[in-house]
Amino acid sequence: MGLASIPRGVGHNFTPEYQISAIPYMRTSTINTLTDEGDNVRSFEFPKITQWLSFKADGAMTVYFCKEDAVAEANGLPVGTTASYPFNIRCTKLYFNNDTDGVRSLEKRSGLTVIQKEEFSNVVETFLEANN
Amino acid sequence: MGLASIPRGVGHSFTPEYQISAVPYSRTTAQSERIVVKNANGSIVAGANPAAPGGDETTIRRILFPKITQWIHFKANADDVNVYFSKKDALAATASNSLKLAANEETLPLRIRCAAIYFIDGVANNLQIDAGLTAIQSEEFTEVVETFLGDSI
Repeated sequence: MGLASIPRGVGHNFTPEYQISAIPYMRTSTINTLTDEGDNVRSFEFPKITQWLSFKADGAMTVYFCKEDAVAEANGLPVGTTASYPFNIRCTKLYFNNDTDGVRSLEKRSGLTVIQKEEFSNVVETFLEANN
Repeated sequence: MGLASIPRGVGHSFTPEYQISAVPYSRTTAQSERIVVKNANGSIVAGANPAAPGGDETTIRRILFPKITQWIHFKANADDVNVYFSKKDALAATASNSLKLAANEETLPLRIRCAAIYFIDGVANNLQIDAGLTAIQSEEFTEVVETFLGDSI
């Protein structure tokens, strides 16, 4: 049985995928090596929708959940050298301000659902930017 | 009633097994087994001698869980330890695709669903691994996480 067993189109709110335990997905990267989104913003994309997220950095820095907030350096989640609690966060992409945090190394500890990321692309971003 | 009461074939996503409390299962890295894998794709070389892997092979360490995990808690002691979830990642020159535990770091119970974890061969023997297991056969999930993360089998 493969991992991609959830039929495309079930939606990002397919409840059982958030009730069972998640697929481990650990990535560490230096912010300035991530995808360049322009406007001094870098991004990191998960291969599936996340069920939970924990962060551990090599110094104080900030994680954003939409580009607009990363540009403005507002409404972010501050993280540091102690691993954060595993937050039940549903998203597909993280954003960073490269001017401020470009040299930081960030460990992203995540648990993934098996729901395709396309089901949720730009949903969090649209919501957050509409509420700015 | 024994623990193996979940009928084979229900699948690794049988939700009730993740909603009830889990069966305790604790190990340390000292109890990990040595396996030999191919450098190219992380596939296991059956019958290979871990003390003398071939030129295109590497010895790594593995802990196989007897059932699919519901959660795992890690407690490092005096040494840094990197925990990998695929064999190929355990072969990588960098630890960027691992759970990087600093000396004395303790995680919360992480809701991770897997059937095996991996380490480099020279891993310290003092990582404490406490897992909560479902009663779902590990065969339902063997190599699923690994192939998602890039292993070939």
